[in-house]
Amino acid sequence: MIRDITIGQYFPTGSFLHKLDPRSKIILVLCYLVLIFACRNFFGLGLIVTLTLLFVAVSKVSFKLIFKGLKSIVLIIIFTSLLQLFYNDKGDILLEFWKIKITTGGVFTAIFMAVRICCLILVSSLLTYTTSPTLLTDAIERLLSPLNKIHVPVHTLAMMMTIALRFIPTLIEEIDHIMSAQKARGASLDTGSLTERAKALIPIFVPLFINSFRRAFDLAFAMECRCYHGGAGRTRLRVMKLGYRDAIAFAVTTIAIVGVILFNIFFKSVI
Amino acid sequence: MSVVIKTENISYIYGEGTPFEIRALDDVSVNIESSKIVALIGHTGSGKSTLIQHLNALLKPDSGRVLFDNKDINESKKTAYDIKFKVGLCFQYPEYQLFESTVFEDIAFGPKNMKLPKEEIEKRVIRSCRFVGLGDQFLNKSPFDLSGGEKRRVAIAGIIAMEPEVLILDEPTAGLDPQGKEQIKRLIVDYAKKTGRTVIIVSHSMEDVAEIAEKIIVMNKAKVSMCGTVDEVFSRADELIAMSLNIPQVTYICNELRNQGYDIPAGIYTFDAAVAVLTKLGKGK
Repeated sequence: MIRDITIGQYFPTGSFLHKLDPRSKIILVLCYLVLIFACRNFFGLGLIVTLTLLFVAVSKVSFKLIFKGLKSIVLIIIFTSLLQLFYNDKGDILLEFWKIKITTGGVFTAIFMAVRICCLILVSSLLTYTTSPTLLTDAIERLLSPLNKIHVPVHTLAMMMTIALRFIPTLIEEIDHIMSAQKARGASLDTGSLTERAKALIPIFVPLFINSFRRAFDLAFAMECRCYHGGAGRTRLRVMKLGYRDAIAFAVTTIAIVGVILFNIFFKSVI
Repeated sequence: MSVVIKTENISYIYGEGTPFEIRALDDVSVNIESSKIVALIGHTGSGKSTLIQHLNALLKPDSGRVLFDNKDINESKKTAYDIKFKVGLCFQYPEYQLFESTVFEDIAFGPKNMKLPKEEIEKRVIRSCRFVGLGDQFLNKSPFDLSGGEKRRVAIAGIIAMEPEVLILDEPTAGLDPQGKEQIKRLIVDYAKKTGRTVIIVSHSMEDVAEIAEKIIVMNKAKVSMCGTVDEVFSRADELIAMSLNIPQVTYICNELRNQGYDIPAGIYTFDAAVAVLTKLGKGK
């Protein structure tokens, strides 16, 4: 059910990736995302796929779980690939019937698209699988702190994000609970016409909203009771420090960037 | 005595295949006899809530069967749906699930899903609202304007209005003030007496259990570790304490007094029984 959604969850396995500085993880993930779209031939793509699988292995998060997360986007992947397959008319014609033309360009782009989306999802979900939400927002706050100079309320935004992330599991649990309770009273959520199904959501969302407001007030009181007054002058219990692991990670990424650039220069691009 | 619900070797695992995998039920077989008040006790996380959600097919066992009147409730989608009206389950803190604009509409939610005729729904709503001790003037109020105890009673009325053959209440008195607790307790006993139906309550209060239950099921680490009458269960005080459970405080006091040589019989579980024995003892001197 709802609990099976894994994207955005945190799986503490204590691996190399878990111990990386979250700031470097964010920067490196951004690098890889750019790299995934920068590569233009199969050598570069192969390098990226190898690295992605390497990261998955290093993270020690079970393969089964990670690919279960991919399952939810299979439809999107198939749809984009098919679109590329039918609408790209570059390259040699492989097959032609009626109005449909399938070309080598189309096939290559379709494969590229599918692999790229998979890598994209894998790399970015690894970030959340291996970083606890609090660390993640903390890192974002640090990375964006220069914006404070132009009066962007970075701390407030980061705090809002932390709270939002913190409450996702709570709300999922709550929805689960309310759904069970209403099902026990005979609410049927997966049968009936579209309007009936939409109506069936009312008994779930009304309590959910009311409870969320209640929680928000409680949280605000609790924060005020602990003298929370925004970010000014706050110190931290755990100060982030870059270590040898980050050096290794940056080195690997640099090699990957150089590799992809070299492949792009020396081999013919296929898309 | 006829058995109304029966579980046969049911097991259930949460989050199978993730690092958070928890075995919540491990080969659980229990019989629930009809027209009895059955108490389900156990340490937090012992699998009580998981078990009761199997009894009305909200959860499907990974292995084993749940039988209601000797029929497998998970046989088809329809049986799994219909069972919810025969086994009414009221969750913990049910007041957080109220959603309608009036108390009447909220209590009517269950009966409406049963597709009952309008007059019957109205009758049942009024009946169950009175039964939980709320007057007719409450019917047109918004459930969100009520006090905690009143909300709780509205939520329970919502389940009772479905007139289930088995009523399951998950910690019905949690978080209420002493008076509210007393009211809910009396309500459960009255309900069982008046309707002759089965009631299962999950509780952490050994006093309440001793007072109202006729049968106790003790769960520990996903298994049923004891099952029997109040006497049978509370006479095994040491085992209960080893499971981080307890015996009623009066029982504890009476046992201590007996150990010090006072003439007090074993098996004092309720406050009233203790008072009777102790007054007799006092007069005898």
